[in-house]
Amino acid sequence: MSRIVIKDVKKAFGEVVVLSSFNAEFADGEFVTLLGPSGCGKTTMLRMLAGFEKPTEGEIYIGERDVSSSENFVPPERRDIGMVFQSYAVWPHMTVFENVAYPLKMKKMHKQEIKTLVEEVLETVHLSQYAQRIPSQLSGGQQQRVALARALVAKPQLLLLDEPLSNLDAKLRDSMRFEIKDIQRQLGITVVYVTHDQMEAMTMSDRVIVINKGVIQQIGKPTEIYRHPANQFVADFVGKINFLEATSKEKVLTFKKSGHQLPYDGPLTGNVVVGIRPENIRFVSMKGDFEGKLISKFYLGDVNDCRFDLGGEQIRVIAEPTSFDSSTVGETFLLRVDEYSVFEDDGDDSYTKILT
Amino acid sequence: MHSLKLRTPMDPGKHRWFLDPKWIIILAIVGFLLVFQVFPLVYLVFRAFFSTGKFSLEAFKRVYTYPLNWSALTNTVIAATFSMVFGVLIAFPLAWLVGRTNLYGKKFFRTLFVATYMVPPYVGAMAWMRLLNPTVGSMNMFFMKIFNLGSAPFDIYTMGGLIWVLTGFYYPYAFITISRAMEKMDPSLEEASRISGASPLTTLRTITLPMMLPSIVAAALLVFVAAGSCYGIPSIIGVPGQIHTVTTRIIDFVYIGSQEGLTDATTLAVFLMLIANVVLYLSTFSIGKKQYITVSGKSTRPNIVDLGRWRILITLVVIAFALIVVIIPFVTVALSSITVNLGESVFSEGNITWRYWERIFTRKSILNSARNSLITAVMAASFGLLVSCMMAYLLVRTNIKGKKIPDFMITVGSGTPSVVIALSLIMSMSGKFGINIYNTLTIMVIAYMIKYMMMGMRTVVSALTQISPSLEEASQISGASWLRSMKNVTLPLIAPALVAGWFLIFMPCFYELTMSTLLYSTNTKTLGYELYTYQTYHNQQTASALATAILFTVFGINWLLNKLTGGEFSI
Repeated sequence: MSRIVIKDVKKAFGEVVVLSSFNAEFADGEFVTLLGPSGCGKTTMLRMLAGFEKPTEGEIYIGERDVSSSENFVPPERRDIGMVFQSYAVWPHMTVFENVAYPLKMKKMHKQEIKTLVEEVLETVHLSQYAQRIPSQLSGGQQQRVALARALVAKPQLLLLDEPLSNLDAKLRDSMRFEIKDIQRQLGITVVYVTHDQMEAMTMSDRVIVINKGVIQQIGKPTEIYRHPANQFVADFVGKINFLEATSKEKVLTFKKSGHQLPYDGPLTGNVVVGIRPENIRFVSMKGDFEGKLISKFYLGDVNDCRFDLGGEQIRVIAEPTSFDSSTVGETFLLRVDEYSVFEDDGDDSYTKILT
Repeated sequence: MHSLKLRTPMDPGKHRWFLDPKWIIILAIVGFLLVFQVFPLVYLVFRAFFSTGKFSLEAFKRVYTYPLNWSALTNTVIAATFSMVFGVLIAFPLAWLVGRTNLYGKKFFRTLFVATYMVPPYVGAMAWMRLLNPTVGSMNMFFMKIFNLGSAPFDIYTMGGLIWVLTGFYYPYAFITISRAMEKMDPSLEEASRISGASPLTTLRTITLPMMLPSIVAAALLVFVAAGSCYGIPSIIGVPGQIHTVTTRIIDFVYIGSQEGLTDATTLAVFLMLIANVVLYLSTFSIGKKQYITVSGKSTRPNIVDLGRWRILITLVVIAFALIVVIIPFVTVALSSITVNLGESVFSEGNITWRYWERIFTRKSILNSARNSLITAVMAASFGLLVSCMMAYLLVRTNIKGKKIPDFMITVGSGTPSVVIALSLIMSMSGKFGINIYNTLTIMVIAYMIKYMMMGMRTVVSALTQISPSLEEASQISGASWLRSMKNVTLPLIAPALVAGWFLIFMPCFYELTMSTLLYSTNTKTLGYELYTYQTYHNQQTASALATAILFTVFGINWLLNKLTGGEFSI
């Protein structure tokens, strides 16, 4: 019913290419997130799906319909899409009811029918008692839900969400995340979600598309993105990571600065960069991979965030909180690495920094 | 061990009442406005009711039963109402086309329409009486030739003509107000409507227009008051056709000079003031509050509506509009200034001359007037800016209680028709109450400040609002005194706004006509008045040369302003 196909889409504003050769397919009912730093082209992609921007090249299909290609361009009002904007874009001169009823009115539906459908969707977003309020009397989170109700009321094929949570405070963001996910599951609607917040991407999505500088870096399930990042950018952007330079020779990785070694059975040889997530390193009493001197430790309640000197390079370790009391700065510990990724050394050393 | 003697910063026992310097500033500004604005206006109203020493409605009876005055009242209301309606009907589509569609040459049109705002209105009147004069108007002749008409199709000396010229010179007020509001509107509000299934036209009707309504009403009222209190246009266009307005009647009455004349003028002025102040109240204090403030997310460029196959046609219509309303009038005035015989085409044999241009740069009275205008405008702009800066600081950076009072007074002053301000100053500042500044340049500087200071104040206030106080605090915490922080941090940051604010006061003062007409004396004629007398009594070509010179000056200054402030400010 609402499979989305994006084929070779490219977008340039004048000379500036903001998106190059975007290819993706979203399944019916899938929750897909476009994740990337600001200015990476994710919002432009979303706006092309909506029909606010015209691709410079390429084709977009929603369902079986060609909505954007060199011969054809369907304007936003005829795409049958719901969208929630970053600024909510709730119309201040209309009541909550009128806001939500608007898409149905555009479909020239019967008054009674509109009333039933609006009441139904307001129920879903828990706003029933606010129907007659005007938006300025609502809180940010409530306005957000009005925008969501308006996007859902016409039962669109596709729901687009453009950083919808970025204007909310942290607690509310947390609960809205689950609420949006629940509603999506309830309605079984296809969702494309744009964010720069990896937490939102990880918790809500079926699949994540990581974009940087207009180029897709990786498409995959949240676990794949996190555990098997395709390159250093993805590893760095999603989660925390240590990058250590090493050489790979005969199934052994030797760290250039500290001389420590790790086993390796991948295909890469020569200069490589090893990425180790801080939570994948443990204190052990024997059979450690590394030996390091504790430089600093910070008690964060749920974890003990510490830094070690491995001899020539530093590494960040996120250990269990009880280790805070049993360790002293200056002491030497054995550390074991549970999981790591190996990347080709592309000569760009901007990633080999200690992340804070 | 030393016993450290701590001295409390302020001994509570010796706490004395002392005057906060902020209060001194407020009192100074309020005092100035009380003496030169509030008192004269109150006295004006008082005089209208107590013309003979005790309360009487005699003056009202006399003035409002005289048919010529009645027709002046109705003429004013009719002319202002139609100019308002037409002005908004022109300004809204233009603002939308320029701001929200892919019209060709949007930027150019925008600059052009906004630039008209700076042109002295009487220039338009001069141009149109040359173009649409019923016997010799060049545009009339042109139409007669083309369509083979027996008589001229248009007569500028009619109510229609008056409305036409008023509209042509006051729609920019509405254009600027509406454009600004449209720029401030979050574009995703319109996008949300499109994605909900509404076409661009439906979106315009159901979202854009209702959202803009408060601004449109405010713009309309602005045009209404400006057109209703205009003197230059009705005196050049209306009076020859026996169409009097309140402003021309007031000035006629003052020119009669008798006590009765002055009383009659006062009585009419009270009417004008009443209308203006009611409108001002409506637009700033009630509609102003209704304006929708929208949370804006990241700034997406506004969604540009594709005009499609209408694009060329609509662009042509806008070009035609610009030609007729802006270009042709200016060119007409410029050409008049080098024409020997206005009855013939400028390009006919031996009809081109520079003698009028020579005249405006050599004739002593003109040079004197130019000097007077320059002095008064520079003084008004400088003092006005000083007050603006102090007011801006008070309004933005302090929480002092009375700060709204001078702000309110300045707003009222700028909303009061020029004729009324000038008349009230004449009546109260000619020695009757111990101050006699009538016939001096001082009285003009004061009148200009009251009328135009607000433009400067608003500019400085908005600039200062954008500067976070923490920037100043950061300087103070680094060891700089308050004064040095101002000099090193705040001043450089608001400098462009200060320059802009100064010129915004300077320009309208430089070519001011209405107030000068009432306040001038033989030694204190101004450029605007000089031009007006040449236009009406002596020689239209000289007036045209002067007008063209003023236009070049104004556009030159605006260009300079744009360069100086890196495009941030121009009108």
